[in-house]
Amino acid sequence: MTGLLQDIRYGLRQLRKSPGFTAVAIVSLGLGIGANTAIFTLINQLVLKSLPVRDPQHLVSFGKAVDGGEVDGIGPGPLDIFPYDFYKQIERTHDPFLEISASGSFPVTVSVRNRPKDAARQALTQLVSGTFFQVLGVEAALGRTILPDDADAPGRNPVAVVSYRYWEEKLEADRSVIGRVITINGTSFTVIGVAPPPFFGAELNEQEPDMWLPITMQQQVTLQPSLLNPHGLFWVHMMGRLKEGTTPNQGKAWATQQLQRFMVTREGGTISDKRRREIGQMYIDMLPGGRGVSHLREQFSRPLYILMGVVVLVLAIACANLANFLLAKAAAREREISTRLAIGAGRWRLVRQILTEALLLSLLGSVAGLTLALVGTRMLVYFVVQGAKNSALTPNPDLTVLAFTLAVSVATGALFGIAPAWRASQMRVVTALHSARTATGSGIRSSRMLPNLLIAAQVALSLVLLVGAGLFLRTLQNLRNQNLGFNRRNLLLVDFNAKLGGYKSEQLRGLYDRLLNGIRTLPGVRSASISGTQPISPGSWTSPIFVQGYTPAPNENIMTFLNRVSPSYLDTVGIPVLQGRSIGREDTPTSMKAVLINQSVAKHFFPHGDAIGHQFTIADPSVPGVWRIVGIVGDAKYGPLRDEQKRMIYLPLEQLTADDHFAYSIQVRAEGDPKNIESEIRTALAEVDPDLPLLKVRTISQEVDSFVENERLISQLANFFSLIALSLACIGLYGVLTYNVVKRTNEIGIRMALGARTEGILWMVLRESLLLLAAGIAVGIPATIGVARIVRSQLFGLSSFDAATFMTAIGAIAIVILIAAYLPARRAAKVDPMVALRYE
Amino acid sequence: MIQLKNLERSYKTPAGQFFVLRRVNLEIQQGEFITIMGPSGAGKSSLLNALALLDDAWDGEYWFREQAVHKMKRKERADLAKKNVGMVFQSYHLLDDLTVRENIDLPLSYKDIPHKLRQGMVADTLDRFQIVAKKDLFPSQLSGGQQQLVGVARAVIHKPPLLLADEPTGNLHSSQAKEIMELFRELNQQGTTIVQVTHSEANAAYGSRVIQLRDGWVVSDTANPELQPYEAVKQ
Repeated sequence: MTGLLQDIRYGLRQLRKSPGFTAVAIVSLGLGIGANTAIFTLINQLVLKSLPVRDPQHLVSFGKAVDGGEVDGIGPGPLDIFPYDFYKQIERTHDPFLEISASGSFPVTVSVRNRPKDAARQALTQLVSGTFFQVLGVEAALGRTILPDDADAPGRNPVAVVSYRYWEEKLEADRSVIGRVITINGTSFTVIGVAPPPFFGAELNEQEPDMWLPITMQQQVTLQPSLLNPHGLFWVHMMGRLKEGTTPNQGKAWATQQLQRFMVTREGGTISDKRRREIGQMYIDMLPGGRGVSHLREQFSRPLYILMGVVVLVLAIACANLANFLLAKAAAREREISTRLAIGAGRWRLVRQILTEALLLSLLGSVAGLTLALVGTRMLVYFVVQGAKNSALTPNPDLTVLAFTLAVSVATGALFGIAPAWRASQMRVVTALHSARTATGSGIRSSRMLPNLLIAAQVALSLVLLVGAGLFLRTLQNLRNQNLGFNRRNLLLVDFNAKLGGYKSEQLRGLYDRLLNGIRTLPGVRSASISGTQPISPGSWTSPIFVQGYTPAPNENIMTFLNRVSPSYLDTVGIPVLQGRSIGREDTPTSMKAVLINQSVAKHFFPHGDAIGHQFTIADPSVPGVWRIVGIVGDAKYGPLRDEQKRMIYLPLEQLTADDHFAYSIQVRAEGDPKNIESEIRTALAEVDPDLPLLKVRTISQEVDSFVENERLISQLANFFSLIALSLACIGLYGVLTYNVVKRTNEIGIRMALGARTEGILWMVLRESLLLLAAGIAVGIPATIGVARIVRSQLFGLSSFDAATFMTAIGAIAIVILIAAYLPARRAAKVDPMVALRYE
Repeated sequence: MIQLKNLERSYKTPAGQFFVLRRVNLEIQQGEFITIMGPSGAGKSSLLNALALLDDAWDGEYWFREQAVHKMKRKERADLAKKNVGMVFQSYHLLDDLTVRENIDLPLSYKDIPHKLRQGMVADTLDRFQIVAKKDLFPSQLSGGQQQLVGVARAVIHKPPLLLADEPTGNLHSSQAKEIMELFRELNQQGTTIVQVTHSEANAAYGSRVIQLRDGWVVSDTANPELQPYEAVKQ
């Protein structure tokens, strides 16, 4: 113990002795460890951490539960979204499970008045079954949770459990809140409980719910037709708690059997053999549910693992640097070490001494790293949750993260300390003691081998990082710059919700006219339109279409996306009409039902180019009748930017009725930067109706950017870290070459005394760095190709062996390496032979 | 061969100008074997470095075979030295990561001599110094005497007319020293002009002329008995 304390004391003294080196080491390690900690914090939160519930390891999720919304027409394969009546059916028997719970697959934004005279405010709610809290094993912090009796019949029990945060922030942490009546979308609900502080539900998404409401209150909460009726749409997620001794596979078999039976019953007695076979291929995966379900996990796991790989490489480069610096320091301490050996120090003791110094450095680095990680994680979380204020994701490190940082710190210290420690343990006492008498003993090639190998490794790792970063950057550019099929200049998008504003279907025509007139009369506005969904956002409205005279092949996909648009939509958005006409004022509720199709629909159903005038019906019963094609418009990109063009049909808003007459999006084409007229537009809309909820206002560029979040995250961080890596490699090479030159001063002096010219000496040092560069590139290229193959699926519009990216990366490394090498080379060329020959 | 006229070398120190060579006037004839002696700090090595053109920060005149070295540019001086001067050092200054053969080849590699010709010259030199068997060994595998032998071989491989040796036997025991001095004598007899710095009277005996230095002044020269004692000159 005394020896260890002595080692620590001596190590600290060594660090104090070289403050410059210590500072560079701590900053390098801080960056490396900090980046690792930041990324790991997010991975821990998204991927590793369990829900704050009882025995989370016994929870299972019925499928991935990442798809949301309401869908119909489920085909063979795994299911992760179910109809409510299926839940009711299996909840009654729930054989292998203690309990099964259901929750709405989408959060519902509602308008809430916490007191009758309070202003309405928006809140995020989650519809849950009466078993939800029981399955999770969560007790209320105040009052009680929703129980099965609260969700036993549609519309009967308007009760609410609010989140602890909502209770603190919006209900003034009032302990007498239990029993208070609040108004949600016009319906009175009684607050029956406050959830415990860490609880955020079973879903880890951008924003945690403000309250949980019985699923049986769906109609009052969503202001939509009931989704609870038998043969309803698929819209709930399910979780279960397995009975003791039951395996997930047993659960899967039971649930799959129940599902297939349910589907056969649901589709009635006239079910075809083909459909029966399809139902036979349906199944429910029973996945671990202890970490909750999260679409963020699905979305960001892969980017985060890629970034983890990136920051591990950065840390490896920092380690190589420090190993080199410590090797140099150990070499400079040869006489001290040999003296210690000569007076009886054991080799293990010397190894321990050097490792102690390395560990001290890495621990100091980890302190700096934790500080940097706090800032970095905050930025990452902000990015992942898109600035949402109430997210269950927190940037604060927990014990797991701290343990990770400590482990990384120790591993790092051991990694960069092992080489100098090994070198010291191999030292021959007599040689070292006499090293000063040999003219060039300290510059011999073998002693430079390890540092040179480390530099070559850094070059190789930097190449991997730079090429990776370059590929991601070009992917991002390709995604952003591709032709989206509409005009992206000066377009502002506004989301609103007339339903939440209390409008009925018959009031909408007047509202739309007033809104558009209010906007169009503003200076700086060129045109405005209204639609169901925004350009590039595909929405969730899909349906098969049945074109008259067209017989689909067996299993042919005839699904098409649908959008409802006002007459000026195509003109405002800038989608060209290729044939026929656009939707116009003449398309009224009483006129012929007119429809526009995009090129993809035309190519699929009308390969001979004769689409105009043809008619089709839409399977969705809410848009009945026969629709005549009056125009073909250009393909515009909808949905993920990597996807192929989608089939899209545009229906006149005027010709739709009831729920389909609701539109949620306004598009404004401005003369100049649309940001400049944003406040005027808000004012104009408020003048039409101050209570009309405006959900989101953004430019089309921001909207497009929201589709490349993953790519932006990877690209920006990969580029940032690769530049750090390159800087570290540059510092490392500069340090090693400078040290080599100092060690070789005597040799250089001899060479100059024997006739070497300054250019020759300059070249000698530069050649060494070029050899290291060549070796690093030679090793780096196959390694980079290997890594590029791994990330191939993340690229877009370029090959993983993109020559331009490889050449640019190699060029960048070469330039940096030559700059790093030039200074020591110039120093070598300026060696005074007379001084050098005395340099012993 | 060489004429030094009022050669002076000094360093600036916080205490003022510090002279290591004072008004050195010296004439060295072709074929001489000169020994420079004197106590430590007398300026012996400084004089040798000036002669070797390793140092060019001196004042005065330096004539080498009628060429005014003092008027030459640094590069011209370096070229002159490369062609005409060989150096032998007390601590050998062999490059540890080069073999004996590579060390000997080093001066030739700086002279744009074709590789084949260099190979022949190296082979001749190895043979002449009887170190063929050691050609692939590294300096650390040789004794001190053998290392200095390689040092001398390296210094003379390009057949310089002037060989300068700074305490060439300082790190050797007497029998090894004797071998090296015999070698010098042989080289001198073959026509090489030699200037050595030594403390050893025995080594000095191999030479034909002894120059004594003290505090940077030449105080005696066996070839110039008329030389005034330095005290008188100083006054």
